[in-house]
Amino acid sequence: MICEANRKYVDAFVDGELEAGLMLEVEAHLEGCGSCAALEKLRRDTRREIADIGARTRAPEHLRQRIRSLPSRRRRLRLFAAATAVPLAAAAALLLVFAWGAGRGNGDERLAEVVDDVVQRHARELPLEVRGPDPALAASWFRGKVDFPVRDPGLRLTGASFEGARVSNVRSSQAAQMVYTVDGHRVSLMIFPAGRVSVDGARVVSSGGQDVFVGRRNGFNVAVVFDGDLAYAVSSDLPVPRLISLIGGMSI
Amino acid sequence: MARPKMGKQNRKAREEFELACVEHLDDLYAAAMRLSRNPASAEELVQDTFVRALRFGDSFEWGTNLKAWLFRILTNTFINEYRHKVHERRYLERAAAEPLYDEVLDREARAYASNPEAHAFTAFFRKELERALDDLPEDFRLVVVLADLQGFAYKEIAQMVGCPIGTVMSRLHRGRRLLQRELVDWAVAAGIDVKRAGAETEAEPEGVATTADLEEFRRNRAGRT
Repeated sequence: MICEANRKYVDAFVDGELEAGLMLEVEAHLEGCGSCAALEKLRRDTRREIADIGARTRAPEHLRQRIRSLPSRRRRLRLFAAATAVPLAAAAALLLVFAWGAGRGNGDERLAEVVDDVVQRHARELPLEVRGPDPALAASWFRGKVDFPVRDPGLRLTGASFEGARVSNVRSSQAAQMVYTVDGHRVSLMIFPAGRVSVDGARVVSSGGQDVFVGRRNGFNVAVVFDGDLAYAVSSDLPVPRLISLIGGMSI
Repeated sequence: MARPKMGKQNRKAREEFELACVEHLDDLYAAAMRLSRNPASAEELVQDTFVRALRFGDSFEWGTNLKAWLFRILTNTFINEYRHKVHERRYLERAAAEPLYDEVLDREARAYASNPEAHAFTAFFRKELERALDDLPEDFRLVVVLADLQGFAYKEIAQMVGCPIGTVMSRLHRGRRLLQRELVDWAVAAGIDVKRAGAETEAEPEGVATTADLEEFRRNRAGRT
């Protein structure tokens, strides 16, 4: 009887749509019931495989071109704007290249610049492209959208609830931005290739045998760890120790 | 507090909006492919969606979910202009009345979970899931695509499709069971020993939440304690 009652909720459980109390109840049942646990695994795997079908599908290039040309056809004003914007953008890019060249005398981007960028992206609160509550699903959504692997960092174990994610940038790299709520505060986790980041002169704290680099900008704190080729940066108005414990609790 | 609408005043905001829309092109196309089941119709559906999105862009509220907004347009366009209503309605009724062989499905689930890597289901998932998805009746396929392919929440899907959350849950449940049945059928066709003993008819009227609503669960739970 209890099994039947719980079985009805396997779909909603896998979809992360149950309220916390019910979630725990179904979870406890799954631990002791092989049959329901099997069903749950099958549903979860099927869901992931279907998400993969979506992640593998790309719009053909001719459709992309057609869509991009839609707005410019609609307004002549825009054509004019584009005609002036392109040379301006080219000039700006050129300036950027020179600035970069000078800054890369030691071959790297400094951590302070990364902190600036991470805070800026966090503070802008741009619309999320994929919604919670399942961070693993969001992680698989990034497949094919960013050119590095994104895994669920397991932040929910540290009391964070996952709100959603979007493709973003940190300096010259693509970044996977995952947004959480922790104790009512918005927290962004940026995952991006660490190859170019230099940590010389940055403030570093040791936490659980791991070096955590910390910074502050415009009232937001940032904590950064490196794992292999990837950097993980959390940004929020939460105090630094809370960010360090959050980033230390990640399963990366 | 009302969220700021984009308005007509800001050309830069408008351009950012259009660029942000194009970022969702692959997702919209992936869903359109599964909904319309052929590339030409999918392209048409996506293009219509963009034309409407750009036309009604002034009504988009910044700070809300752009992807969900675009998918609401895609879903409406699909429902109103692309689906084959009469034919599909009959198919939906037939599909809802067919037995789902619960016991066999559960046995498959157990076998799968005991050794997912070696079990034939894995291979079927990769190879046949796409086709099984395409074979679902439209009403079921629509919610499965929105929930599983795109990861939308029940509430968002209910808004997109224009039905109660209970109906979303019931169609999702039913759609996933049908999908599972299709996979079992392929397992049978491939010579895997799946007997259909103990087949059970599970024919609820469409719109009734087979994954019962949360209130009902709480009442049952209260009754037990």
